[in-house]
Amino acid sequence: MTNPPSGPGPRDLSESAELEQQTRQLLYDAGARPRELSLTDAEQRRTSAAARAVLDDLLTRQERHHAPVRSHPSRNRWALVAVAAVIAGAVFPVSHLLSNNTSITVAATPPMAQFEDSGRQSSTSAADLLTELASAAAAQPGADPAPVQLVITEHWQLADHQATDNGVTVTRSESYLLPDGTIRVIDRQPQPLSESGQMTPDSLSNLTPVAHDTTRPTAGSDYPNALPTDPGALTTQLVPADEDCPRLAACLTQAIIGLHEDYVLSPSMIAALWNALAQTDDVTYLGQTQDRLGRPTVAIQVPSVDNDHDIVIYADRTNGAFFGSEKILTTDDPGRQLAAPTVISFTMIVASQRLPLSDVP
Amino acid sequence: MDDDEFKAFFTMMHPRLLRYGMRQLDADTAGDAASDALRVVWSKHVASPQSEDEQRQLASLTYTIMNGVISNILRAERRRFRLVDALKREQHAAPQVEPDLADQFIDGHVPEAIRTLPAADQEVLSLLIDGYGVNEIAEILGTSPGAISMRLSRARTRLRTLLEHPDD
Repeated sequence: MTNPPSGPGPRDLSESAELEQQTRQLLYDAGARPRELSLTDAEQRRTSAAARAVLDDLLTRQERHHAPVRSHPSRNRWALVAVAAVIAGAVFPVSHLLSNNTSITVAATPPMAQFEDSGRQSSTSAADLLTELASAAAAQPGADPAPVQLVITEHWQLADHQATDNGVTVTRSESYLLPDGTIRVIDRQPQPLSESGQMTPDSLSNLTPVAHDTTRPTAGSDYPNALPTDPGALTTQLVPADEDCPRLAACLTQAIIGLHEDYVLSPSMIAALWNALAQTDDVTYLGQTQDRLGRPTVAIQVPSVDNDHDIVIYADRTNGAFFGSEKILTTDDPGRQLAAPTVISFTMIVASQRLPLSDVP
Repeated sequence: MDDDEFKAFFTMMHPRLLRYGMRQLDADTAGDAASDALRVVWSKHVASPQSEDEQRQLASLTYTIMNGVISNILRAERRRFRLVDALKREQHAAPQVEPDLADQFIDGHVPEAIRTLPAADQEVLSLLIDGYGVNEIAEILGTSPGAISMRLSRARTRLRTLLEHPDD
């Protein structure tokens, strides 16, 4: 009889220890094997360093720890604030409206977007806008038939260890979807975001050294072409009933974002995605603004499944193109000392195009 | 809990939470999840435990928070990879292939017989398979070591019966 592996750490020499050992032996004889739960040296170094950084961060922020936190805003409060600002004839960062209460936001986060021509003022509903985007997208010429799909993004998310004085750094990812269905993602070294919250022309043209070069599987290079274009059927396909999604618009929006970040979509598929989203409730037109790349864009807000943040998606009204998305914290997070509303991540599509295989680095 | 007490608690709990998280997550994600769970504990202004019972209660609370963090991560991951999974299901709908034995050992293996036991039995047995003892299982599941010993004893009896009489 083979001996089973013993448990971690010292054990009490008691009846329970005997019970443990006998049961473990029974399980081992029955074929049970433990998961591999030990760390490699590299993982040990990384996780220890990250844990130390979090601990230091928590302890050094103790003074802020007891700072008062605003009462929780309603889910749509920040959007309503944006609307109110526009109704008042003002166009300025939404966060400025809350400046008296945002002292607990100590982590570096990008400024909130500015909106004008909000849905309420212009009487444009989200459904109207999405239908308009669908029409604009459908009118675009088809994509180049080259085999490789390249999607370039600039993205940022609030990291656990992000310190106050680190500023916001943005990472460029070049995602090459190859004909075999795998995606090769080249992440470049992060570079700072300007104080205005936008990438500058210099930073956009400045390619920093490669930080990571990884390959992962996808659902296949032609996956979007297999999706139905009927809005109802498309929604059912992207958000199957057995997924038990508690908020359809949020799940559909996540699927739309995922498709745009991995694939170069055809105009008809982009139109179908907008039409599908137009048929959901819980979607709000926020207004016109500029995205993190300085492009004129329209913004649509969708509350997340988790209720603690909203998803904002940006699109080009002239051609229906998807420009990217942001997540906005809508509930104060005392643990991370964040006061809502605060941008907690964004991903902007810089380019979405097809290439010949010979152009893949 | 003052700074020094929390530091000691963090230092003690982080490796344990990380290892627990690695049952479902990769090491880096599990480490981040452990930090998130401890951050929540810090934000709750918990009092310093004054007895072994209170120490165990605090550890249980932290495991409960960790379970919530893990659930959120897995839910987000499921959403993220839903499309991939859907297509994989379609692609692999044809012939059913037995899982590779090597994969079972790399990822750990739970015999089929155990999967037929009640969920409470599976929970305690799977923790035992992964090397956890009665005391730590009690902390993880937020109950007393005595209660876990009873559950374990019952689960062992049911498992033994199942193994000896698989067709019953």
